[in-house]
Amino acid sequence: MQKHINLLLEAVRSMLRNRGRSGVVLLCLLGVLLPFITAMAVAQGVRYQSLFSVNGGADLYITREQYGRNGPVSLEIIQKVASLPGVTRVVPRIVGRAYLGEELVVVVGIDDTRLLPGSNFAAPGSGEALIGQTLARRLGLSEGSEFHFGLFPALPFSVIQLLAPTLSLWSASMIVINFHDAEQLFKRPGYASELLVYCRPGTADGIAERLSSVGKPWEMLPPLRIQTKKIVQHYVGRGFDIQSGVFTMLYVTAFGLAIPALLILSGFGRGVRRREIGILKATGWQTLDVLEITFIENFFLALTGSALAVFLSIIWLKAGNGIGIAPLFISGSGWIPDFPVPARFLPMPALFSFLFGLSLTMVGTLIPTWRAAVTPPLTTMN
Amino acid sequence: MLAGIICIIFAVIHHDMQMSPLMDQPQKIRFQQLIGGLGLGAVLVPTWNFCDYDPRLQSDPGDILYPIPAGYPYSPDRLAMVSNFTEQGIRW
Repeated sequence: MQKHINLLLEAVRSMLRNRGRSGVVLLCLLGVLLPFITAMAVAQGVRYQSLFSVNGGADLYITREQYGRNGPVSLEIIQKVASLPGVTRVVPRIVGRAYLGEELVVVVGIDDTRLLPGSNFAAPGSGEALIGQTLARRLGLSEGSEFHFGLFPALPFSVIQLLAPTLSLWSASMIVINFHDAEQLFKRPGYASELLVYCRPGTADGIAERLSSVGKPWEMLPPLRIQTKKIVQHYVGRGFDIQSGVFTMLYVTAFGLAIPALLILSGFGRGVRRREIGILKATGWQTLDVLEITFIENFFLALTGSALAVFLSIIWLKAGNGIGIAPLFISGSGWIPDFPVPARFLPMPALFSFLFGLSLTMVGTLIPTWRAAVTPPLTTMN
Repeated sequence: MLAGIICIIFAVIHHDMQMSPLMDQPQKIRFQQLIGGLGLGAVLVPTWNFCDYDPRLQSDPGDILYPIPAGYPYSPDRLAMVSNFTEQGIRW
């Protein structure tokens, strides 16, 4: 045990003695790891925000099939759905998009009369609108301002509240209006884009089965499309896991080329390194001892490099709010985002960054070290 | 150096804890409850399709049907590094 502690101390001394080489390796690691960690952190942050959307949403989403896609559903079936055992509430919702001036915005029509205890906002009444703060700033709107959509100019709206950017990533370009106003705006009275069904725990699958058999095949009415919360959770799982996995794979492949670069750069001071190894071998060090000290050095370099990369990434995403990098990961964001860019660094981004850094440093130095260690000391010291 | 590393690690943990469900999240949950759960992907505005914005609204990306069916997905959101939703099983 004492031997290993001595080797650890010697590794630290060696790193401090060869400051130039250690510094160059750290800079290379930072260059490789910083964009990687930032991308992974934003991916985890958006995924985490999406969980609020999944958990705060309905148990079932019902639409009509229309040419193989989701289509509007008539409000007439609300009574039929609400009468099913297990259903506690059915809420119609309209989600569409419209131009407000030059801005393309998401319009949400909701008619939820529930009082949400402890919330700072309530569903808008007729002629009222909740508008995302960043959108309002771009359009020059504030609380009390009036506006109308080009889609239906005769329908005026008054801003009753601005939605803080911290509420949700997706509220940045969102306008929430009353459901009946949305019916008029999109000119489909009596229809909703989907029905939100809330039911008692454990009954969602049974209700979905019963709804699947609503309607007869010979009726000239498209079938219902039903999405359960379980399916939605699959969306989130696969949509983020596969995509960030593909990104990681491409990044690792691309930066596999960084290994030769690190090999060359770690050769910076290579002559000195070989002579050091030769001296160590000549004074009685074993090959395994030399490899162990190299491993410890690389471990500390990888740990320091990945920790610094995580720290700089935090500064970039938190203090700088992802300037310059947010639009690469979040579509619709400007170069200077006007909403807090979501990011999470634990556990996977930080862990992957450390493992990636460790792999790069190990591959770059262990083999040359081994080759130097098995060469007769007289040769390596010359 | 070790002290610096430890400080960094604590800074990371503190940063992530600020996003934990225990702190300042009730308003986020209530807002999503108000609008019925909206927004899943790394897209702020569904410029090309609703699928990448929230696949609950449109489970398939319409740009693979038009202009060339089964052709190249024209939406730049399809090339996103962060999220990409493919059609999941939906009940009929």
